[in-house]
Amino acid sequence: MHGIICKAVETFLRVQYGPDRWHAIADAAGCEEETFETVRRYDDATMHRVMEAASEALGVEPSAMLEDLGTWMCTHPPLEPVRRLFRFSGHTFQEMLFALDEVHERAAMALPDLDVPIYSLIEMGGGQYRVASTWTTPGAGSVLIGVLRAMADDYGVLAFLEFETGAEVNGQWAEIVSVATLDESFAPPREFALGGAA
Amino acid sequence: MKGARIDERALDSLMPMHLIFDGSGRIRSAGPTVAKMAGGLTGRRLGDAITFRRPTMSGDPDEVLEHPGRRLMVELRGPREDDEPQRLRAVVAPLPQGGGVLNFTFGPDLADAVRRHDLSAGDFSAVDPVLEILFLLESQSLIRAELAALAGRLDHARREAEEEAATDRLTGLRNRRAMDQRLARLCALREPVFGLMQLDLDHFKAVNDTLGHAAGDAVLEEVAALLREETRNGDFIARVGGDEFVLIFEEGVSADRLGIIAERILMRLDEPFVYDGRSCEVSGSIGITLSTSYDHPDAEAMLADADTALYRSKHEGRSRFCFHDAPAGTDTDLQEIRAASRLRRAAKDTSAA
Repeated sequence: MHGIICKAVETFLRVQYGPDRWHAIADAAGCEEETFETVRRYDDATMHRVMEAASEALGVEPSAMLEDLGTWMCTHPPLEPVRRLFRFSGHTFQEMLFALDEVHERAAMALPDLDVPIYSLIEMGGGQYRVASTWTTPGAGSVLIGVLRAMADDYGVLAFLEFETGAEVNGQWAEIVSVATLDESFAPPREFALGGAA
Repeated sequence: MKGARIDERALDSLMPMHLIFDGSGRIRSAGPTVAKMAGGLTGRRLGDAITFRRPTMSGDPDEVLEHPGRRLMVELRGPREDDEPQRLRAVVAPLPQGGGVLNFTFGPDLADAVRRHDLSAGDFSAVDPVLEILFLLESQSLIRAELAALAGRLDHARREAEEEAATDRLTGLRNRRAMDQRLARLCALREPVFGLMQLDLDHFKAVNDTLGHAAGDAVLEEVAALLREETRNGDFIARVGGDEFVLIFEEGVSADRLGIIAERILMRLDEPFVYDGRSCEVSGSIGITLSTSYDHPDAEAMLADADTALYRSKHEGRSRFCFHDAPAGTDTDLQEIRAASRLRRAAKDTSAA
């Protein structure tokens, strides 16, 4: 797993729960060092142990924690660029959903070895969608729910998000999330100026 | 071509950065994004609103239309004098009714321009790759920031590791490795001026043997502390072996000064250390050499000479210092320093008794 993903998890736990809790979690997970480096790769099992240790220490279900992580990535002020990156993928919430198919390639555009999940959208009609995800480790669906929750708010769209199912398929984790948008324009989207790159 | 007529609104959505001018060179209409960047374009003369840089043209419509399909480098000017012109690239095509249409895009100042004009995704055609470029620019700046932070962390770690590699764990003084480096660096200078002092503790083995290693360690720490006290900040102190120390002086180097420092150190060493209620008697012997005694100072030779001088001190009865090749005229002064300090010490001992 790419260090930038591990770093995101570490920063989330550090910021949300404080450095002391993070140290305890990293210790419990048997991490050699308490800080992940963004340019290294880590064993998937490492992140797995971190999530388990965090879930145990904080008394939060892993799926709930990953949802929080997804929302946090898009709303934590210092990570404003992440929200902007999602906004770049579409003018409307629907366009952004359509662009989920490209998330993996877009990430690779920025960092060729960044192994974010592969998402694919299934249009069910009537504002209903299902998003299938494939990743080397469980959690892609839960993170997506958190991200979409934040982005629906950002676009001013009312969306119901639900985790449907997850299973290991050929050594990969496949998960399905359902998305129901009630009204694509229930509130005006938040102002979004493109200019932001320093 | 059979009259491809197009509705103006459709044109706005296909080419939001276009501008239509008539045969007389007046602007008839402008796409929404161009209008956002420079208001009040309609009715202005083409040459007033657009400066044609490459190729250089006045903005005469016939002249502009002589370059259909070519990339034109232009500047778009707002109606006000103080409006900053926006660099753009343009392509022109004639229209059947006369005049022509210009279509614009941004150049390398894309990110700046987007910020300056507060543009959003809706200001570009839905298929304009500009969004991908902005996405890349933004993700690159995120990654750059992360790499810069990483470089800072690595640099910090490297300095810590270097510091640790050059430090004697017990005393916090520099170690032999650091001493070798420092000496090599000094000897490589064109005209090095420095003094080298080698100090051996006497009777240290006895302390270790009778009171144990903890006592020995405590003595070494005490010695380190007194060496720091008796030297200046810029002076270099290393523990290079069990009870061997090397001091290097680069500032105000003279035989007299080094003699005075050596004497102060020896006096301090003569005072008994108390460890765990028991007194540890150690003293020191010192050998000194100066880089100025050599035509070409060499680390190995200087260390060997300091060592020889040190052994002379030991043979002469310990708790004293000797110079290798003492500079003429200083020796008497030094003997005086020595004699005076011995007298002081004797006086102190007598009064204490």
